[in-house]
Amino acid sequence: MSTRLTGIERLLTGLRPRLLAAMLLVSAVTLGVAALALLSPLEQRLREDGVREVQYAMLSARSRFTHLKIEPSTKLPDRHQLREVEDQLGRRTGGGEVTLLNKQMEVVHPSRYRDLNVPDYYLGASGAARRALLSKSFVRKTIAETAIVALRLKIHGQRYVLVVDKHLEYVAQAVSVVRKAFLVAAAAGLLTALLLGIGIATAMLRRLERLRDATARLERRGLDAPIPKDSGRDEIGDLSRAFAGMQSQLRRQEDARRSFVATASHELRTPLASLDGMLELLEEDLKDEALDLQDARLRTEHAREQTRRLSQLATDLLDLSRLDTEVQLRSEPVELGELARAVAAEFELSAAKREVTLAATPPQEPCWTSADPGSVARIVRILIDNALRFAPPSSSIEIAAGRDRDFAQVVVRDDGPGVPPGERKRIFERFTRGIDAASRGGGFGLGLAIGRELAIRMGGDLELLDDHEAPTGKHAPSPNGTLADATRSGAGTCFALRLPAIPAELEVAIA
Amino acid sequence: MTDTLKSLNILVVDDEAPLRETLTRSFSREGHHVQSVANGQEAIERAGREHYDIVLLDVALGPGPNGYEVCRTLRERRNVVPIIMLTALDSEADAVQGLEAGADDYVTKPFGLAELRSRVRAVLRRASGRAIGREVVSIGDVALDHGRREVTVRGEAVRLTFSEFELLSRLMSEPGHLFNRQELLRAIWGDSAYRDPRAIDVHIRHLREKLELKPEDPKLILTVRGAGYRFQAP
Repeated sequence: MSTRLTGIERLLTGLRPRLLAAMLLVSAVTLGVAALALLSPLEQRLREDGVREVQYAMLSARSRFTHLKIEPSTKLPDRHQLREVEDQLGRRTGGGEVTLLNKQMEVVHPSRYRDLNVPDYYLGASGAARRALLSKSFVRKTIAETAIVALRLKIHGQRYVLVVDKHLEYVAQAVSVVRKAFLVAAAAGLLTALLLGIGIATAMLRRLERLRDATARLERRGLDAPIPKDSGRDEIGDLSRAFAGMQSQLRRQEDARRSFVATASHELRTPLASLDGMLELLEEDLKDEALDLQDARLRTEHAREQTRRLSQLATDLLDLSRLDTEVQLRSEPVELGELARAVAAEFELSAAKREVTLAATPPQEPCWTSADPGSVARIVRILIDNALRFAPPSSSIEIAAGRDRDFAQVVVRDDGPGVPPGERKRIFERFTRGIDAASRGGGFGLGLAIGRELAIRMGGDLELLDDHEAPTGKHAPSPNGTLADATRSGAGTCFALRLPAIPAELEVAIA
Repeated sequence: MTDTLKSLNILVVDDEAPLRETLTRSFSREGHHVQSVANGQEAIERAGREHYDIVLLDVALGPGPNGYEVCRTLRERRNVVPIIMLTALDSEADAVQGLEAGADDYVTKPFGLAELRSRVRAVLRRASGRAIGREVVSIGDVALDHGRREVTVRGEAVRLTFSEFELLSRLMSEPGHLFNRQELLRAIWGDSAYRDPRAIDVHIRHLREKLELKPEDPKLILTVRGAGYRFQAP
């Protein structure tokens, strides 16, 4: 098996690494896409919520600022009141720093906690505050992890800007927790994919390898190699079952072929052995000059009987092999009435010898079919020959052509012992002879097999009719009723060769 | 040749009347008593009821038991009459199948009557011709009486077919000596015709089944791989 993979090839291009790689890739892509789709919007959303919380708090605190008392000395809002309102707002925003600026951008009552020297903050905040002075709505700005929200307001006619800045580190922290969780999930997912991949790939590969080994065994040991079994309900199971089915079918064919060869060689060699023996005995007699003329005549006759058998068998076997190689049959109009009559005439002499009457009944009107004339004649010959072999002396064999619905048919029936129920199906198999056939002279059990195959090849069939199926009434091919009457007696055998009829309107054209 | 043989009882089993008749005539002419039957069942009954010196048995016998089955049945009933199978198949597998069933020899159709007669003679000359010596060879537990064609193993009589007896007799004639299969074939049949050396393997297997305590682990008749067989020297 040079086509088998080597160890390294298996590692690189085998199904297992490919399946594993595919599963890992799928898991990694899924987790990556999920992370991208989740983490960034989550961060955005958390920041947005943080800012919005500040805005709501500022809006609801706005009226308190506008109603602050003014210190008469400084004309600024009351320091204590302002501190109180600022602290309240600070709490409401969840830890934001609150600053009130005047329109010169100076902090109103700076607190001792506030370090306004941080340049970034101050620049950012003052920029936002300046813009807020000109805007009716909120002005937002984010510097590093700090969100700055500014809102213009009036206190007793003076313009001020309320600024809240809030650290948003918790957003980054939350996102980092989620990211970590994602990494853990990814590791677990990839590991699961890896294990699952190895498991599935190994199980599948084992089954595929079993199938491959079964194929190799078939190649090495032939059809007797054990048939693989796989009851899996998947494609590999299907493949195994298909393989097993094919092997069984081949085995059956091989058995049939073997049994055919065995039987054919018995049928060929036994008459040869008899013939050889008879001639040898004759030769000895001649050599010893002790020839009994009467005995010699008898033996010569027997020898000729054997050669006739052999040539009949040769014809049958050649016919079969022609059928098996599907030689093309002709297809042309054939009138069955005339054909049946002509073939029956060939048997007049041998029928007379057996004191059997051949009654060929012509059809009421011409009975056309499209077929191979030689093959139809061959089938009718097989049927008459068969009937002659079983017909008791002074009985009659009916041969009738006629139409039955869409078929043109030839029916041949005899008054012989008939076919026992158990044999009815087997009788069309090769080398199947009826009981006593050997003692009735000749016949290898090939005729009916050949006949049926020929009939099927021409689009028709060759059937053994049951008593109740035998033509009677309106489909009876014989109008005078002899056939129907004889069938009702229950004895005998009745074969029908059915071929597709040519419709009546076309028959005129042919005629 | 014929005159050295006494008149024999021969049973011909064949479903083909012309061949039956030819065989009957041929052997009757040599002065033997020939009976012929057409089917397997009748053959089994006849062989059980009457004594025959040899049975010529066709494989294909029409309905009922075939030649192999007849052969097997007779051997199961400890009938050791020499059997020559007449077979239409000349593949080795088919020949071996007949020997497996217990036949002594096989002839492929079509055969000449002279060839068949020579095969029959090969059996009968040995089967009947050694009465003069009356020598008994005894090695270990096995005793072989040429005159009576009897074998006892561990004190018990064993019934051997013609070919089994000839084979054992040759092996025991030189204990420890290695015989190749060709030599053993000649020991049974003389030089009458070519036979498949695998026939020896089949006969040896049957012999072991009759002689050995454990046929799968033989102690008496030993295989020398690729060379042949030898009888264990005591």
